[in-house]
Amino acid sequence: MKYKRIPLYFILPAVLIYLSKTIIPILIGFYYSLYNTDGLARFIFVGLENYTRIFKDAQFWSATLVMIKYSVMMVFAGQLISLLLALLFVKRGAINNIFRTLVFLPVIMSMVAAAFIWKVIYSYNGPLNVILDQLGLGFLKVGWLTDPQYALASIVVVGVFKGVGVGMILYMNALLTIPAEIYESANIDGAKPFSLFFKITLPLMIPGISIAFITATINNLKEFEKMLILTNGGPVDSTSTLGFYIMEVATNNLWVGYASAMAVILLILVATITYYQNKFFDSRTVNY
Amino acid sequence: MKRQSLTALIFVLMLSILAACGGNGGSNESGEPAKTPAATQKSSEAVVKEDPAQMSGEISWLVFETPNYTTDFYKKVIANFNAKYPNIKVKTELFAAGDRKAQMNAMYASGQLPDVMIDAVDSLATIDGALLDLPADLTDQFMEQGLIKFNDKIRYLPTTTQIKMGVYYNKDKFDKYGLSEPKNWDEFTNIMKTLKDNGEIPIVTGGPDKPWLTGSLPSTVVDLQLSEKYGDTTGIYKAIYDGELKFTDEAIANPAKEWLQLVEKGYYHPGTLSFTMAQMNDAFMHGDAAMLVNGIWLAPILDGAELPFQAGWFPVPTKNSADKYILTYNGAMGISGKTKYPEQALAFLRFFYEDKETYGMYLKADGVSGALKENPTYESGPYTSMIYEKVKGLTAISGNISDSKYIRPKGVSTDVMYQNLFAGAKLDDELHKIQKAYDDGLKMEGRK
Repeated sequence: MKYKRIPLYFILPAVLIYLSKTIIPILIGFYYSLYNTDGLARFIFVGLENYTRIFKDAQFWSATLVMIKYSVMMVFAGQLISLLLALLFVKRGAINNIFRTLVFLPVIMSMVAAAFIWKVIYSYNGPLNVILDQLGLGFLKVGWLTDPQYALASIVVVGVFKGVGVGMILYMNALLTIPAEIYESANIDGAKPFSLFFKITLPLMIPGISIAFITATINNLKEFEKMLILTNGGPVDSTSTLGFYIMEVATNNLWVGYASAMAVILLILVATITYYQNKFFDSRTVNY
Repeated sequence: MKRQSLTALIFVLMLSILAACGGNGGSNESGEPAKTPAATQKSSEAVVKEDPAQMSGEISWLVFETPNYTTDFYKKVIANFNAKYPNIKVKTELFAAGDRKAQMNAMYASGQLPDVMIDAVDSLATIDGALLDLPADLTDQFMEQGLIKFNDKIRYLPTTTQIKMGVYYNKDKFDKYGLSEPKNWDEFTNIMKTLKDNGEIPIVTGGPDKPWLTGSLPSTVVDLQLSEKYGDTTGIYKAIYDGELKFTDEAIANPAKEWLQLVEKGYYHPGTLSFTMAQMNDAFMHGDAAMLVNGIWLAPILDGAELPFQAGWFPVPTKNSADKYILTYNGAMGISGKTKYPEQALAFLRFFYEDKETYGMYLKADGVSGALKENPTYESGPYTSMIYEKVKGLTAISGNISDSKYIRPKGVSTDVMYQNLFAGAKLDDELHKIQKAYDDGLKMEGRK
C-alpha cells in the first residue's frame, strides 16, 4: 500500500514548480488587476475599474487591432513558408542537412542580435535601400521601420526569418510520421502528385499543422519583444501590439494594476482563439 | 486530453504575460565650467566615519554609454574610487538603448534596482522608499536650483549643468549662400528654404532609440516661447498642473504646427527618423546636412574631430527672437532604497562628486559644467569654448521642474509626440492624446 504513494513523490517537484511558476503568478496577476498599483508601493483597491477603463481606452483597441494584423500576417506567412521548406528539405541528404541548418540558424540566434542585424538592413542608408538604388529602384526607398505604412510588415519579415525554422521542423516531423505504405498504395492506384499532396499528405499532417498553428498563434498574439527592440511600438503606434502596450503601461507608466487587467483580457482572448483553432483542426483530423 | 493540452497552453500563455508585466544658474548664468576648485572633501569625510580602506562590499552601478561616456571611461572612474576604497567592488550595469526612465521603472517594479544609478532615478523619486534619502551635508554642496525636494528630502542629485539645445551649422555652406545666423523663426525657415532651393539638405535629426532627438527642435521652441509668459519650465508645468495651460492650447499647438511645416516642406534629411544619434552627427560632420539641433555634448565631439568645414552655433530661434537658451541640471544620480550596502553606495556617490579628478573628468567628457556650488575646472576645446562665449549675452531659461508637485506623470512624453507627428500623425490627435495621458497619469498616481 505504501508503495502506491511513491509515484506521487516523483511528480511532487513538478507540481510545486507548476504551482509557483504558473498558478500563483496567474492569481497574483488577477489580484493586481483589481488594484490601482505600481506593483510595490501603491495599492488602492478599485474593484473592476481597471476593466471598465479598458473599454474606454482607444489605445487598447488600436493595439488589439495591430496585434490581430500582426498575428494573421505572421501565422499565415510563417506557416506557409515553413511548410514549403519542410516539403523541400524533408528528404535525407547532405545538401538538405546544410539547408535545414541554415534555415534553423536564426532560431538559435538571440532576438537582440537578430534585431540589430535587421535594424542595419532596414536603416535608410542600409543594405536594403542601397540594393534598391543599385537596381534602379531608388523610388522604392522608404524608412522601413520609421514609416507607419511599412513598419509592421517589416517586423513580420523579421519574425518569419527568426521563426520559420521551428515551423519547418514541426512540419518535417509531421511528414515523417506518414506511413510510406499509404503512398505506395496510392501510387499503385495511379494517384497523381497533386492528389497525393491534397488527399494524403495534407490531411495526415493535420495534427502537426494544428500544433504549429496553435503555438504560432499564441506566440504572435502576445508578441512585444520585436517591437520593443525594433520600433519601440512606433511610428505612430503602428507596431504597438497589445503585448507591447501592456509592457509599456506596466513599465513606462507603472500602472501595473491596469496592465494586469489588460493581460487578463489578453489571456481570455488568446484562450478563446486557441479553443476554436483546436476545434477547427480536430474536426479535420483523418485516419487511414 | 484535448482539454488538458488546452489548459496547459492557457497557463503557459498566462505565465508569459505575467512575466512580461511582471532655476537658472549653473556655476554662473551661462553654465560655463566654474574656474574655482572644489573644496568639499571635509564635510563628506565627517559623515563617512569608517576608514575607507576598512569599508568592504560589492555594489552595482547602472550607467549609460555614449560616444563620450564609454566602458573605459567608467573603468577609470571605478579605478579612481578603488584607489581610495580598495575593498569596495563596483560592478557596472548598462542601460539598454531606449527610454532610460522606462527601464528604471521596469527594474524597480521587478525588484532589480542596482545599488547606484547615474541617471533617470527622478522617475522613481515620487515613490516613498524607492530611493535612499540623501544626507544634507552632501546635498548642501549642490546649487539649490538643481535640487528637488520630495517630502522635504533630496532623493537624487544632478550630475551636470548643460546648455540643452542649440543649432550647430555648417559655416561654409552659410557663407556660400550668403546666410547669417537667424534672429527669429521666420529667418530660420528662410535659411532652410535657401539651402533646399540650392540642392542642400538643410537639417538632420534622429530618433529610433532616442525620441528626444526628434523632439529637440520643437520642444525647445515651444518651451522657449511658453517661457515668455510662464517664466521657466517649472512655471510652464505649474500652469499645466493648475489647468491654466493645456497641451491642446494654441500656445503649444501653433509652434508645433510651424515646426511641422519644416517636415512637410522636406527640409529634413531623407530617412532622418531612422538615424541613430551617431548617424545624425555623422550626417552633419560629413557635410551632408547643413544644420542639426543638439546639446552642448556635441561640442567636445566636434573639438576632437577633423571637420571638413568650419562649424558655428546659434540658439534655437523662436517667433520673435533668438536671445534665449535652455539651461538644465541634467542626470539624476541616486541610491536604491533597497540596497544592501547603503554606506558603501553613499561613499561611492560622495566620491564621484567630491573627487576633483573624477568629477572633472565626467564634466569634460561631455563639455558640460558641474552642478556643485564649486566645481572642478578643465580646459575645453574651441567649439565648446565658442558656445560658452556665445551664450554669455543670452538669457538662460531653467529647463528643470523645481517643485515635485508639478513633475509630469510617468510615461508622459512630448518627445514621442513629436516623433509621431514627424511620422505623419495628426497634430490635434496627438495633443489630445498627451493631455489625456497627463490627466489620467495624475489621477492614477493619486496626485489629483
